[in-house]
Amino acid sequence: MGDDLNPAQLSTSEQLSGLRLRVRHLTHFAYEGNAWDSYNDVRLCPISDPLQRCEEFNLRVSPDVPINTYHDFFMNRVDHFELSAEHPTLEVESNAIVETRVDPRGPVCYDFPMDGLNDPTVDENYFDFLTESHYVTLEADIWREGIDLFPNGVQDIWKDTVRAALHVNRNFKYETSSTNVSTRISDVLRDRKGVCQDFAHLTLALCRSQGIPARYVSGYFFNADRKPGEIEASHAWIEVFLPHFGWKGIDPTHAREADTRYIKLAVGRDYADIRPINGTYRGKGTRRMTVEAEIRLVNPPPGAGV
Amino acid sequence: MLLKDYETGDFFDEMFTADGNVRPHYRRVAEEFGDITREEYRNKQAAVELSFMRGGVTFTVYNDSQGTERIFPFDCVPRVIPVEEWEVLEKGLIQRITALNLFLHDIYHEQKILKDKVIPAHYVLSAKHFRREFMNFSVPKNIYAHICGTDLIRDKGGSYLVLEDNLRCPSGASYMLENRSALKRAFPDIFSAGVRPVEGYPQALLKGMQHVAPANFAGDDHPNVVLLTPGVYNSAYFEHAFLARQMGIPIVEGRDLVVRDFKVYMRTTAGLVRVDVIYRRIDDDFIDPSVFRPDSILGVPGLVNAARAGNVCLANSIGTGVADDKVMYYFVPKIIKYYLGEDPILNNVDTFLASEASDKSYILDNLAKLVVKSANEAGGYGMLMGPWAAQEEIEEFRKNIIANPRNFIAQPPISLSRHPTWCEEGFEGRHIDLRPYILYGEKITVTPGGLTRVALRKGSLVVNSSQGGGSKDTWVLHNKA
Repeated sequence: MGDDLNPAQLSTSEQLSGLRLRVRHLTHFAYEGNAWDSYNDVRLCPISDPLQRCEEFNLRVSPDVPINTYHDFFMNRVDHFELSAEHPTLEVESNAIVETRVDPRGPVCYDFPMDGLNDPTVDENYFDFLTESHYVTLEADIWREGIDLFPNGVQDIWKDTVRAALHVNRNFKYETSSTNVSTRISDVLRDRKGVCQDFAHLTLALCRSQGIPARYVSGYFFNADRKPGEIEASHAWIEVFLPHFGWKGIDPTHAREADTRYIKLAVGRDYADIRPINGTYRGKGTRRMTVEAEIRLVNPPPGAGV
Repeated sequence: MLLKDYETGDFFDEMFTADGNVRPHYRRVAEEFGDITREEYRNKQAAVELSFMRGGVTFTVYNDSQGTERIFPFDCVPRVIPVEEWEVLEKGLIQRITALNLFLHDIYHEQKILKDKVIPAHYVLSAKHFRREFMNFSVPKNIYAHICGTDLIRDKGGSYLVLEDNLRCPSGASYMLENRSALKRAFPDIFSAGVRPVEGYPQALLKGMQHVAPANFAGDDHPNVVLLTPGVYNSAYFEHAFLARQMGIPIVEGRDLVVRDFKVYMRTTAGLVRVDVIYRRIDDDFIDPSVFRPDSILGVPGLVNAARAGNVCLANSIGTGVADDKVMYYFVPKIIKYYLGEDPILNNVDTFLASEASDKSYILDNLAKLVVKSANEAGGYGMLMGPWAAQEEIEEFRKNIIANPRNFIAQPPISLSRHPTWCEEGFEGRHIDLRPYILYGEKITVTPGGLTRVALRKGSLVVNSSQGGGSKDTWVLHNKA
């Protein structure tokens, strides 16, 4: 394995303090003719966990309809709504304030040998993130890529996940609009290019083909150095399961650990489990979708400690 | 060969003891069929078949070019279960369904059985019918499997064993009812033996459905219950229509239902009518395209969320198929022990899991002696009968087992009990099983009897209707013989 994949090259925690961020995410659908009998699941509410806290969340649907909330298998919040009347457009807008925190577990400075996964005290529920899923198919070409990357097998869960992420980052070209939501992993492997979603799926497949449990994360990345007019959008990265440590985020698109600039919306086996907006409707097959996302720093609430 | 020349062979025979005597609970049946002539029997048989055909008591065989609608072959000699045997079966089935219901609640909530490592978590998570979408879903009265059909067989010594559980959409109850009425028409006299009735099944089923309706149900006096069918091309459509008629409830297809404000309505000529309970005969995969298979045109978009909101109850519940997985079957004795602290009253057939290393090598070394089953197939499909299989078939399974061990289990072949059955020239022994129907409503009840399926081909052990099986009326006697 070449030195260019040395795990030490991963950028770690450039961002050393927590942030308070405001998110506005607007999705607009314009149908050809009208749509009706539309049933939708929305996963846009930021997760609250030791690394981030969702202070505020508002979901607006237009036309205005009641919303039914529940938690799915992976404990993501889902907002479900239905629109039975005919409507020419549909707008879903979420507004949230999220406080992100520095990982209280500190940096990953332990060894994680593979046999740690067999420890009887480790929760076996990571099994879901070891097997094939809708987008993360484990076919011969991905095994080949994985075996070439790890000719001697996995030595350390964390370091080798980092290698897999760096491998994807270095050897695949990030190209906007080069793929779409239905792109298969074998196409990405062949064309050697994709977007953050493909990078995440590919890294997941490399990990899972080697027996490393890893899951898909959908969310946002706060880009402090954003130039005016630069597009902001949803982002995707992965988390790897480290026994007795927990899930740890790593972003193959930027070759870096997920730090306080990352806002988590949902976790699942892959994109298919946690599409931000997922549903069916009756009407013509063509519709136009536009998305605006905006992530901004906000001041701490008045009276809050440092 | 008439009954007096009948040979039991080297099998457990339901009617005759090994030395050729009629078992006491078959006395009345033996009197009736003991001196029947070939001509008499054939006349009765022809009358029964004609009435089935006219009544449309048929089923569909998929992938068969010779017409798909056929009658379910019926044999006139009833299968009789003495009351003392039945009482044990009843207790055993109630125990089993109670435990499976607790298991379903647990794995869709706290998952204690996985945390306590009684069942390795990966077996549940990899089960084809484990529905992640259903997690933390509360079902009315905590009942998951309202209707269950459990397949039982008897081994060489006559002990009853559980072969599989059917907790999704078990079918066949209509044949249990039709068989009874056919036999009553053809041989009215033999019912003097004192046979417990099965005719209460549809009303018991309806009461069970009404029991799980939302407290503020929409119907006037009773909750509105409907039967949801995939449509006329489904192999069990006759049964759907039959049961709906018997219960006096509407039969609907997916397109007849619509969800508004998380409530389910039926389109009628008088406008939309609220629905409280759906006896659904559509598999999970097809029931709601907005949650499961988006290409399904059979289902009702929004239905799952209406159920989640507590405005409608689905029977059986979503996600019960995980308990049908043949790998989960292996764990049922442990499930009973874990939730009830009891030993199982009815035993499983010895089972090997191909995904356990030691079992796998045993299975691969002994393929020619074992019965191998796919974990999630039903109806006798995806099965290898080792001792009777061709070499190529065995090698095919060997490849599949190595490729995907999670998907296979193996069992020693059980020499099913036999029953005198009419075959062309007279009575011969044929292998049978038994599917009793268990209803979980206010309490758990088992309809006395069930569907006895018989493998009509000589020597065959496969009783499935899709594989050349027939059926018999099944009696449970009132009194001790």
